Amino acid sequence: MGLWEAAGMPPPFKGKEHDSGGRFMPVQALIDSARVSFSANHLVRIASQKTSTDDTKQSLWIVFTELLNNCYDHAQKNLGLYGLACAQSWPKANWAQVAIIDSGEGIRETLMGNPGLHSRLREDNACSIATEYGTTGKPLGHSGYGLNLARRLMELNGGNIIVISDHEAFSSSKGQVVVESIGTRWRGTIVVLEWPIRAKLDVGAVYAEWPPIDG
Amino acid sequence: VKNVTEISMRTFHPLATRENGRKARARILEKLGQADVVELDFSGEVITPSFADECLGVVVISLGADQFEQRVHLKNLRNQDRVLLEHVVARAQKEKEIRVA
Repeated sequence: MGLWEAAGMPPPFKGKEHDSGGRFMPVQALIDSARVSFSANHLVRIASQKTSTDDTKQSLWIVFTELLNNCYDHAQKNLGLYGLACAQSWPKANWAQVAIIDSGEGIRETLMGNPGLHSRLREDNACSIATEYGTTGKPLGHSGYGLNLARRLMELNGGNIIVISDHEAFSSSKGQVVVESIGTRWRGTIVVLEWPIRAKLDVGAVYAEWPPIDG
Repeated sequence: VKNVTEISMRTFHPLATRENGRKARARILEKLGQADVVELDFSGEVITPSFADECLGVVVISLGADQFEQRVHLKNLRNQDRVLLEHVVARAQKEKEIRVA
């Protein structure tokens, strides 16, 4: 999948390269925030079908764009590499998978920017908190919709989401939520989405279930 | 007679990033300084929550929800985006109240 090359590193071994045939997107480096929409479009092409509805493609574009925006918002800018993204689909098996990885400060560190979350962060898994509606490290000006949107779009359509940041992991699959500590640390954030490629996705269904604002 | 001006949001395509949201917001606030009502035409556009937050959310914080409703008219929105924007406007008004308090 070109992981090492995308990260600007020599590969430790020479793998056999396959023609993607439109079924996978090798790992792409995220180096230019102006190309968020372009990268999201590329992911949508791999992770949808010609027969997918406009609503499905637009819903995927919105979710990918939000996650890619997070990469640029939270990355360590001095690295010059904001993150990595790749996608695969298996049309016969009715399945698609996208992974978006950032080189940022990590979810726990980001959420510590919000004093209202400090007590919960002492008790709970930060990756799990980050997938809840309205969770943000910047309580004034940022609403924290992106990861919740991704989670609920997957959950409502028979998909899975995995979020890993530093030593914490969260996953939701087939109605089962798992939070755990893991031994292998990644200082930034890894988000993996998987779903039936023939599912009709609609972000409107997620927006409609967000709680009404009091006042 | 109200002075009405229109902005084609296609100018800021794609309505995806906070950066584009900031550019669109600056244009909207500039036009609000010149006209009574600004109509935003979203024909053919898809809006992300980040764009909505950075663009219209901050306009609401600046104007207040009542003034926003009277002076900023949204047209040719997809149904999903209308639900999103209603949510963003309500949340921004709440944030404005918190900032004032």
